Amino acid sequence: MKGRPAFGYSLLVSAIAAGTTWVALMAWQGFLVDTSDYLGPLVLTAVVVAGAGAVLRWLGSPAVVTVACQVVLAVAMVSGELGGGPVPFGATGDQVMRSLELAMDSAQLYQAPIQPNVPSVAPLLLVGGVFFLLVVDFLACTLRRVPVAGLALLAVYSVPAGLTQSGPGFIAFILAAAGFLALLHLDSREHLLKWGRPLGPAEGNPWTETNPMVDAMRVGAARIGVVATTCAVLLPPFIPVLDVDLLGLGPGDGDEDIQIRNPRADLRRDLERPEDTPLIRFRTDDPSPSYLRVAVLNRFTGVEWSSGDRGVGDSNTATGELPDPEGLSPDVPRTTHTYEFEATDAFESSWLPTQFPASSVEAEGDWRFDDDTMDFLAVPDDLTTEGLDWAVTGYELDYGTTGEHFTDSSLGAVEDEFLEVPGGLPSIVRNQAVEVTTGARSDYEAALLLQDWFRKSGGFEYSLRQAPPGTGGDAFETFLTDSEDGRVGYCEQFASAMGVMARIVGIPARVAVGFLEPDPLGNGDWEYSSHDLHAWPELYFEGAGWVRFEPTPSGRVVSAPDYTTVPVDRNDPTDPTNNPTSDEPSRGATTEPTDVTTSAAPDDQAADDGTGADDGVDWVAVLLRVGLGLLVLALVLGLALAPQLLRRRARIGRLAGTPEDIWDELRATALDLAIPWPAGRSPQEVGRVLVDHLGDRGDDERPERPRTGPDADPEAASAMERVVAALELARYARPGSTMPPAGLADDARVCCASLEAGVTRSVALRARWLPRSVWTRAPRDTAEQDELVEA
Amino acid sequence: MESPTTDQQPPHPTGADVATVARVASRIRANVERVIEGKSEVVSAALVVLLAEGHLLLEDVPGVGKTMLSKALARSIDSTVRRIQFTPDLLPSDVTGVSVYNQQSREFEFRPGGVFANIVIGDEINRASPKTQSALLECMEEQQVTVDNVTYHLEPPFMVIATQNPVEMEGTYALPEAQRDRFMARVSIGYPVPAAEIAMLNSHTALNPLDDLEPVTDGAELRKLCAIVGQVHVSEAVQRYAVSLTAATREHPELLLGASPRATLHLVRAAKAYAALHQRDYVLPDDVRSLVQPILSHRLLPSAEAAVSGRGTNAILEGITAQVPVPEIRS
Repeated sequence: MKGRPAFGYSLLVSAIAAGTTWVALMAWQGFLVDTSDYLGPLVLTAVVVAGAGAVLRWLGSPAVVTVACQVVLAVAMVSGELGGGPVPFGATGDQVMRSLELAMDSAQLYQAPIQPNVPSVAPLLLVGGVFFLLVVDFLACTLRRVPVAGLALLAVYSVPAGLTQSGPGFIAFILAAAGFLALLHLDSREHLLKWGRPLGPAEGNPWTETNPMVDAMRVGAARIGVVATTCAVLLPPFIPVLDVDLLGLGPGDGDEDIQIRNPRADLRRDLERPEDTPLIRFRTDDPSPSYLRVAVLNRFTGVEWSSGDRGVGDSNTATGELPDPEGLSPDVPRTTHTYEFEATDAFESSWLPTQFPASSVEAEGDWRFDDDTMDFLAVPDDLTTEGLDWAVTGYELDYGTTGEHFTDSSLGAVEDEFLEVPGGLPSIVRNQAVEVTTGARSDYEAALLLQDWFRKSGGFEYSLRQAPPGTGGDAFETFLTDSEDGRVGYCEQFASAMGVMARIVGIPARVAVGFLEPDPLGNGDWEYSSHDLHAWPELYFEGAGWVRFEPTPSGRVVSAPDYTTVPVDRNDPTDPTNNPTSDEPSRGATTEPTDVTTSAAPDDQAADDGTGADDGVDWVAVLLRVGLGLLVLALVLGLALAPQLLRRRARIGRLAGTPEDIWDELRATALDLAIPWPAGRSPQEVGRVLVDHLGDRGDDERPERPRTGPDADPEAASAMERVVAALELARYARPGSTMPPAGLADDARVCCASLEAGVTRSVALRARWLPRSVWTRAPRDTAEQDELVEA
Repeated sequence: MESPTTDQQPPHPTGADVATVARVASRIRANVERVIEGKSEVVSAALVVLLAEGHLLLEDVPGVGKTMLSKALARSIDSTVRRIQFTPDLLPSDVTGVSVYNQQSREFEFRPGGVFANIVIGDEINRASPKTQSALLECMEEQQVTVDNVTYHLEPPFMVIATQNPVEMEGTYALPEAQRDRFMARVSIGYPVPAAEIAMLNSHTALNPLDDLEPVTDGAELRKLCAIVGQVHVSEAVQRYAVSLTAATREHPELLLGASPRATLHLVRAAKAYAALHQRDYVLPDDVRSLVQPILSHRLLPSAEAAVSGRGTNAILEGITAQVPVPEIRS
């Protein structure tokens, strides 16, 4: 008969609840290929949540405090996993939000299971899993409502049932059901033990393991659990199922169709498809058609390239002539070709593939182009290229090999967005960008050096299979590092990396996604298929406009455009005859709107710049975060402890005062403990009421319903009489005739302790953590009675 | 008229003084309880009235020991005791006394009536005519008798212990309200419990137990005790409480007649005696509350509705004491 659970019991229940939830969360494995991405962090979080809950409950914290602490810890864990720091504010918060946004994008774009080469949905699963961990712990352990916690576990199972084709694993289901039954058993047993001794002839301890009543109850509980579990397993096939699609995960027939709704296309997945699905057929007067652009990724978030926010005007329709390409000088020789495209039924893209640059595009449906990127986007949600015919007139530009049309872009020539590089990139990206382009005398030469580095001098290798997944900071670092796993990738990574590095050295850049090279069909028609999907960077130069570069090595793209293969005569910075300062600033000066470091001596500058060094630990930020975390912790602790401290202070003050003050303390104690304080009664009457609520102070293991009354604590009853007598002396005896007796404060303490021993555990806890007397003044009816008497 | 009891408090009674009161009172109680067994609360009420210098009305059916109680109380005090048996033909002059012409001295000389004693036992007072009953009025309130324009003072202590049968008994006249108001308290003795009745059989059948009863105090000491009781402190809070209680009876919808100011006075005086009996030199609200029924109930006149619904004055007073709050005035 215990009011407060033993620590071992508390820990056991918490551990079973957390373990059961974690096992249930294994049902989400169907969402992604690499399940350790979310199950791993969830193990640690489950341990922390369960441990914190067990300790706090054992210490007797109120439910609010327990849950708050668990939430804070869980948020810190999630933040640490997704954002790299325990406090989800500032850069860490941004990182967490970015991870979640990408995960949401992946969830909406790809069909489960999500492949490892695209942004993982693990962050979403992690957040959802932590949520369920907290909910189950709260229901099963804090509130002790295990059956309700079963609903939460059921919800865990219902998520994959609605979204994936595969149901939860059988073993996982059995394990979770067993855990749930164990929780039910422990909870029911605890409840039974609190009901007290049963009526009947049982001798000795009635609740020993051999007691037939307990056994019968256990067997009964087990039967109910087994029947319920069996029903849960067997009934669903006979119940009509409603299709749900919470996250808009891809439909089931996506294995054959190529879907491009978000241009951050799953190139790798499509390239890896065993079958080479025909997507676009076209006829053209171009004798050697090549690149066909689908969409442009203009925004680099530090993790991903994306198409950003597009604003398309009403007049930007694909119904004919297009404006001249941005920045393209009329001096550049150009040849016009016409193309008549026809998409197959397998090609569902909300982006319209077009040549770049193009002079006119005509397509059925409401396709609009973006002035900055000149790519075409379907306005209606249901408009795709599936079975669509459209015509394009494109330019073939001849830039020559002299570089005469490539002038460094001036500040403001293009949107700032094309130069933005977020902080937090691995230092190797910046260092490499600057190192590779050292000696270049113009942006054009820098671009040539970059491409050459990727295609030849850098030792890169094209491989779809060995490429590390993703394009984020870590992926960049791996990709650019000259190590065993490094410098291997496929077109998306080459394009992304060159785009970022070009921006770092001050060249406006973006990534284009499209098709690389069509196959001739023999009758003058050409065809792009799924294996032709490709990505490449486009860099901006005054006079040349947005120019395609080709960093992907010859393993994939045999030859780069002629204008990008011009050898560069490096301006050796160590040669004293050269004046690097006359050249470098002219290129760097135009590229400062972002936090890009464009210096030719990156190492030195990075070393000098204490706060900007990417490869060192930013101790100030760390200290700030730690300080902020401690501040939040102190605030939470302060808020939790403040009522207790105020109450204690008030008690000390009252007990040191007159008998009236001591009486007020008793009144406040009664208020805290929800003991009725009869209004307008004499001290003796009140004392009699209070004596009826005295509990046994010597009973360390507080029963569920403590025995109360004067017999429960005779010493406290006597103390109460003395306190009442002292108050009567103070109130009703001739003023100044007597002094309050000594030891009254001790008597009051005994009374308060005994009153506290007479209430249930939950009431005592509430009185300790949230004493009502701190913010509620005990009713005093003096004024009211004065009026009564005077009336 | 009596003066207020608070603001003109004489010097404080010491602890020894109130202890004396309690000691003497316990002696009287023990003496009386030799005769009346198992009725300690009735004896306590009688003692309170005795020490508060009031008059006691014992109301009950015949044969429960009303007269025995009054006689025992009277005999416990070494003072003059007279018993007046009220009958329908009793004249007022039998109570107060009469002036008789002395032919030898050729003067009228006063022959004192039954009221001239320290303790007057008015047995079956409601059997006398209202005229005779009212003869007691002046004596009880002013402790003096006026006959033929001559006023005779009654020597303190002066206490009337009247017994009466319930009014519905045959051959009784209801006491007028004015006379009821002059009694400080009315108590009912009630039937004894079986054990007490058996004990009574043993002690009362052989000989009269009153014969063995010896006085345990005298009139002089009783006067001192009454003076000590008069000095017991009544705080403002308790005064307010007493006033609130009596005021509540006047506004109560189930009462035609509430308690008079004299009732308030009697209530406080009785509370002082009660406090002294408990060795306290100050009165508690609880003292007042515990005396509300014996002090107030005989003065109240329930409404017809209350009478029909069976709610007596005691039940109404219980409701009033439960509702009227105790003032909380900090010293």
